[in-house]
Amino acid sequence: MIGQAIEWLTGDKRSTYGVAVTRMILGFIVASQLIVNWPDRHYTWGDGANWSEQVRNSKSWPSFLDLFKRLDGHMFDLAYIVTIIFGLLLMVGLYTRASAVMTLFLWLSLYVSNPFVGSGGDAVLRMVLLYICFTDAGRQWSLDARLQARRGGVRPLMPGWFSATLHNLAVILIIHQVVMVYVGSAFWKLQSTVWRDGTAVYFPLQTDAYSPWNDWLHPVYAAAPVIAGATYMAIVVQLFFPVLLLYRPTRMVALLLVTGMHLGIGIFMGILYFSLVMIAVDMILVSDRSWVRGLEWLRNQRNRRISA
Amino acid sequence: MPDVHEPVRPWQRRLVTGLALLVAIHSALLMLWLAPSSPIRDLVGSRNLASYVDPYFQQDVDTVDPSVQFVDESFQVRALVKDGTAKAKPTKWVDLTKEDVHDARFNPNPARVHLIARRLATNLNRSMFALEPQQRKIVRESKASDSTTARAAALNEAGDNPAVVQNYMAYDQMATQFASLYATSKWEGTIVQLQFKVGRRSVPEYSKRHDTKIEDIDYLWFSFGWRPRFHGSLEAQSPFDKYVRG
Repeated sequence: MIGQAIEWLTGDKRSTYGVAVTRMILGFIVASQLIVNWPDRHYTWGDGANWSEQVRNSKSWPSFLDLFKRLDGHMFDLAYIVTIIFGLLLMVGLYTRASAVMTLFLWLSLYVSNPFVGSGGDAVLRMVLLYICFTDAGRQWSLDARLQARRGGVRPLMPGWFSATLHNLAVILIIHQVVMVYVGSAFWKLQSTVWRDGTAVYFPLQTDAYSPWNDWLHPVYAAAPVIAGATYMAIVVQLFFPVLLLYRPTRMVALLLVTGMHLGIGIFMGILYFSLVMIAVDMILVSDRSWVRGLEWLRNQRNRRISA
Repeated sequence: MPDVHEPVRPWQRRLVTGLALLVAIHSALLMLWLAPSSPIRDLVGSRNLASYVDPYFQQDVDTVDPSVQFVDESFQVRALVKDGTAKAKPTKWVDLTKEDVHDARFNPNPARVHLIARRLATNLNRSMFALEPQQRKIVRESKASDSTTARAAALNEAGDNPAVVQNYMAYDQMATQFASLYATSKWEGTIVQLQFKVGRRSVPEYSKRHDTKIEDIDYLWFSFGWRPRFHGSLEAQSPFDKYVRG
């Protein structure tokens, strides 16, 4: 059994397409978040955020993450722009591993400079970014892959078995992270009365914080079947998520449901960023074989349309 | 073409096994950290788990704990402003939370600045709920001339909860600094003193959803006494000017 496990770990690199999609979405999230926050960058994370020092100092992050705390003015802007650039490089997969490491370092340094404006997706994002650094995330759908195909094979820095081991272990950690979030969340939900009686989703949707569309959607939010359906669906999908992953057809159903759930949360509750992070991580659960089949199907559909 | 990279030497296989073991231990520790209380979690101990998770991973239980948001919160600021030689006058209250919510309306990806007032309100509300009624009275009646040390001493004397007082004092200080910088950008003239208050109102019960909206519910307010203005550096003030004045 140990032999089989070693063989599995050191053989093929797993979920290479899924990791590529995760990489692209995470890179997009980092870059787009910083672009969206550009006008208020000094107020949010720079000198204007110094009033939040008490909270900032309450968590003991390692001192090498102090970069943004030490910078101001144009140097702050420069570091901010460099973070956007590395996010974009990660998205397109150029110098992928270095881009992943730099994005992680810079993004984390920015987060540490004012955790007061941290969002729910930040913890998952930084953990997955950390694991992505150990994967071969540029193997598919990346500029690195294109350049390598054009230039021919390059002598790898690490032996194949070691590189595959790191990649596959990191994939396991990412999957563990997402399963842990879902199952842990389901266990906490089961301890709460409002989740058990099917009304939990109703409450945040009535508040200003989680209802950017409240005026328009209040009648929907007040409908019992909608609320009970959303509440119970969240518990069932999250609790049985690891079980549903074991069999390919149920895995697809679980991924569709969970992606739908996140899109719903993201759009209707105004927390798109957290939802995108979770969707990005879920993509690793689609196997390479499924991605290849899906791409073939798309190609066939396109060819059929062209020839018609 | 599948890659085949079998490690052939014993040390290579041992290294792979060791890495896999490390991953298993790391996963187990993170899982225990995020799990609800259980005999296994208690056996390992929260402090031991924190000493591993906190330095680099800092996964919060909030990531998985779906604490239901039952409340709307409000953070409001006003200032005592001296314009020219006239006597200082108080401004109207400005509801910063409302402004943020208004700016984030119909926007699925709002800028993070819109979280600030709400987070301040949440933390101040929490710290006020944690104080004893007598301590809240001290907070309400505190004056700009009181030093923070004196206020902390009075609060500690009125209750037996030093950690709660320390937490309250930290958020009071943050709110004072934030409100000072905001007020300086917002109002013309010299800011002499400033004041803030936080409110909380709960979503009506589910059974009343067709008759009562959250807007029909009044806020429960916690008021704070006047505070002396905090003078921020030019670098700190300038981002507030840009944000508040547009």
